[in-house]
Amino acid sequence: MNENDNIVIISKDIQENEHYIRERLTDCADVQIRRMRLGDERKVDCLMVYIEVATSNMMLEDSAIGKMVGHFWEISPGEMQEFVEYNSLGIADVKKLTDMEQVFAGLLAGNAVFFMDGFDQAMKISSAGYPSMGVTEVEMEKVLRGSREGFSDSVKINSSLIRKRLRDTRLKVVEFYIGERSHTLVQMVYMEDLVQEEFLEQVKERLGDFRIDGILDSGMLEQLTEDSWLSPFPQYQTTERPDRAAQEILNGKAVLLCDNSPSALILPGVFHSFMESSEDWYNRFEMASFLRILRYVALAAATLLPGLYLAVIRFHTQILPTNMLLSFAQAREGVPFSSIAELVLLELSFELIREAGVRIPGALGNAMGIVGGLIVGSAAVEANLVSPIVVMVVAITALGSLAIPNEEFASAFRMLKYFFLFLGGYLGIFGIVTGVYLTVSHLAGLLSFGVPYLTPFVKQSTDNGTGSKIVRVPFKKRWRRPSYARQSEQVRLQKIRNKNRKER
Amino acid sequence: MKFAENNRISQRQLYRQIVIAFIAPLILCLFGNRKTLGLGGLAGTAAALAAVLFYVIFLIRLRYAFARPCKTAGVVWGRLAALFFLIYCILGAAFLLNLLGEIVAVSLGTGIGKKWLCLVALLVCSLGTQKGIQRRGRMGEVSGGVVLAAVMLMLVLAVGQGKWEYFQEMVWNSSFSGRKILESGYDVICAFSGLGLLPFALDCVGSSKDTGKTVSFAIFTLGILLILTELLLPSVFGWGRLKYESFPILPLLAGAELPGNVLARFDVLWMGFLLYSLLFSIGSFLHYGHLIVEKADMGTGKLWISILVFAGAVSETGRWGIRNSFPLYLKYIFVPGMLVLQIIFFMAGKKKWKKKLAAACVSALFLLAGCGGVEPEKRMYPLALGADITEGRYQLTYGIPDLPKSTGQEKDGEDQGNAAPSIQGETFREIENIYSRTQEKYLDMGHLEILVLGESLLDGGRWEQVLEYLKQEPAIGENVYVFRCDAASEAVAWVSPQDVSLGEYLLGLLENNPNGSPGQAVTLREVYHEFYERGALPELPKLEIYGRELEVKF
Repeated sequence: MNENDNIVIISKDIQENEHYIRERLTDCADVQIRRMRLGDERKVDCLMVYIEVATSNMMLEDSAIGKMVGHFWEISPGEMQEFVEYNSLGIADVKKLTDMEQVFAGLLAGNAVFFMDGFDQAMKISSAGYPSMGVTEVEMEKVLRGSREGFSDSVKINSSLIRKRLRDTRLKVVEFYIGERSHTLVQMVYMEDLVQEEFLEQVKERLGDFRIDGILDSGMLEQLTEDSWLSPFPQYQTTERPDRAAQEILNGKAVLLCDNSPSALILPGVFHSFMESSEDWYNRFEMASFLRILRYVALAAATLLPGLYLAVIRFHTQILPTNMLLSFAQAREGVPFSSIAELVLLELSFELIREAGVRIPGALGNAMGIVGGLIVGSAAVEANLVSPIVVMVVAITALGSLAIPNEEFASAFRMLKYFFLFLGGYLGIFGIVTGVYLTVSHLAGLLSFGVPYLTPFVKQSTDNGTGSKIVRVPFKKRWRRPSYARQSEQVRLQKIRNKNRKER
Repeated sequence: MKFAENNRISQRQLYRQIVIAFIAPLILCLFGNRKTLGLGGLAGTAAALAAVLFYVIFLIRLRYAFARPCKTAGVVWGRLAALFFLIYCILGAAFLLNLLGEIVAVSLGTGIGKKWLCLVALLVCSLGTQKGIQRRGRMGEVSGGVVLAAVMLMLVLAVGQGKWEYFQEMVWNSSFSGRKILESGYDVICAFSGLGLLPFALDCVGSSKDTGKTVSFAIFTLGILLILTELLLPSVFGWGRLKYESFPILPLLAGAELPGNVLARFDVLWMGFLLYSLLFSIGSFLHYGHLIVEKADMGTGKLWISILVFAGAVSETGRWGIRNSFPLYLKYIFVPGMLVLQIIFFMAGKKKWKKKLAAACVSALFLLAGCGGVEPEKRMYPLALGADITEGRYQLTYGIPDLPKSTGQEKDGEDQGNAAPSIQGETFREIENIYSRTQEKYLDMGHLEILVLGESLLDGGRWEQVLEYLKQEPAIGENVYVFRCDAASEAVAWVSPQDVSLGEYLLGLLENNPNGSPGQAVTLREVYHEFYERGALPELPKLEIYGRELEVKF
């Protein structure tokens, strides 16, 4: 066996190869190393190495490997060599390997590797691969209208789901293996002529900027490559919907798919894209616009309502109509905590119920949320621990945060809510104003791959026709791509027969 | 990257930055004590706006000279010029910070000391000011439109409070002399002096050929706003009262009502928008301070600029505090000096520990300063206030409604009853002190609806002191209805046969009964107007009490 620069070349002697493999795979009980004698006279020593569950049964005739082994029993050793050389059985995804690193990479990716005595190359044969859930229904981004398909844990399935929607050779899928030990397959999917070249370079550069032992989910990749890692705001958009990913690719963005993760990363991520739902583009523009406005109101409520409530009842009571204020005061009569402590306690109780609901499976989780909310809320009011108004404030805040389509984005505002709560509670409306000022200042300084986070609310040139505003424009008016798409490919919609139709 | 910004701001960002940075300082500072009001003020403002528009043309030509001052005028002169502008930035920021501290402390009543408020505001404004003009551009772009729209909306809502007679008073009584026009005009020019900092940043503005138009349009927008406010203020307050108002813009919405009665008062929201604009202005001064230090190769101004601003804002020695000295500095030193300097130049051609410090200061603020917030159930909400003279002393009677009954939340056997505590004292301050010593609940005058003045107070002529006292209470709205009565304390303690307190009863009478419509009632704003205009009271409706019956005689 030759060693060139630590790369071990495959030997013609199959025993030598077997020895080396067994040595590397000591105590790897899940890896099967099967010796066999094939050929019409059973004189050719062969070796099949595979991971037990990842490779289909060799004896099954309908599997590629089964067919191959069955075929090798009927042909001469010379013909076997020819087969290996030219893949004359026509098995899909067969690749010749020349060194042992390639062998182990192929093996650990879930393929079978076939060695033949007297031949200094091995053959990687794709098989069932590692077990995965396959295509499942979307859980986090449910829509009333649109595809029900969601990304799975397998990166290959995920890229094919995008390819299924964008059947264009200009859709490129570039692969990276990240993680010294996990060798996680990461795919970057983009439309070649829509995405900015500098942007692609920057993404590739950042993926190579670090060395890590393992990447187990796209979330790890996200945190390692984002611009401002201290910011609570996500700078990549995540989605479990292939149609959403395809939509963003058409906008000139790139999608990162990470093996073992059903969440695709869409980059660059900007504020408004987190507030969009994929069905915004499937519904009529009037309703979609209304829902978008509603989401922004929900965002404001989820962030500011507790703080504003405290600012008003602790400092600026004159804002409220007298009857309402007197009701508030009467409702708080006998409550032992200050209004700040009362609100914080109830908010934390809600967070607990929410967290518990997520951990408890299926319908029980939903029941937990409803029962927990109702019982804890009403019991607390009955026991005079909190006032009913505060239960309402917390409930509206929670509803607001649940109406934000993107969970990570909503979480950032959930955190921010406490900041505003204390500012409003201790400094009144002045605190709220300073909080808003700080938030706007922070958001104005955020960039996602050079694109201002507040796009499209801030822009260098006109963004007319992109439709990327709070109010969704009618489809026929959405003729341009957003400013981060390549300038030469800005037009996405052209009217061709409009004039003729009018004449008719 | 091509699609990202190339270290420049857009024209729209420049426009919105100018608008948001100038709105609050202009409308807060220009109209105090009738400074630029009246016909002369209007003419002066119009003339000043025209002059500033011409000045913009000159300003645009200075962009290259101020892009690198040391290169244009040599190291020494360049740095001296930079220092001149830097002092202006520091003093300007200190002045606005002081103003902000006072407005928040007095008008929003947070219960926190002015110095602490200034510190919080400065920390908030300082964050990120040295991180380039793009960040401020984006901030301006995102919030400029909202603030402008909100201020415009608030002014439109205030229009409904204006009175034609009040406006006529301004026309007949205000001065229209050349001196007044010149003085007002120069005040407006001084208020726009911040534009003089623009040449330092103009090299960072995209599409340079449109910059003149953009700046002019921003000045035009602000000019419209100023003139609208100059017309509105006398129409709402009356000409006489404006002489005594230092910040007449603040109580502008104290008597306005929102359609649908969603909110009782929204002047606090109005102040919120003004505060945001003030924070942005202070941040802009700090940003330009950093920019000037950087452009004149004077090192870094990361910390010391903020320290100087804070010191300037909080150090007040007698009459020479920043609030008094900055306007004089502006008038006699900065504006003339800036023009001379600009003409000469025209001719010539991260850090983690800082964030921790900020967080520690804010935490210390909460720990050390305590908080002024009082829970709603621990407050007393008088709906009616009676003011009278008894045994030669002032007597205030607070009409407190029965809380469970008023809110419909009374339980069986629970009957708190209406209360009307009455306190006497030589001065109102003494009455407040006695109240604090004798009552467990905090006195919240924010929901006062009815003011009853006793005959002995009116006859003795000491009602003026009552009005002065009420004027100092920012929580009291100016839409409070004012009545006269033989005995104010008796009237405030009165309850209807249905056990309804005087405040609730009169409100119902005025607002639900077409014959007792608010049109015939007299509000506190009208009382102020007559007081400042003629030194007298308007004809007040009289309350007549016959046992458990009450009648209002308009």
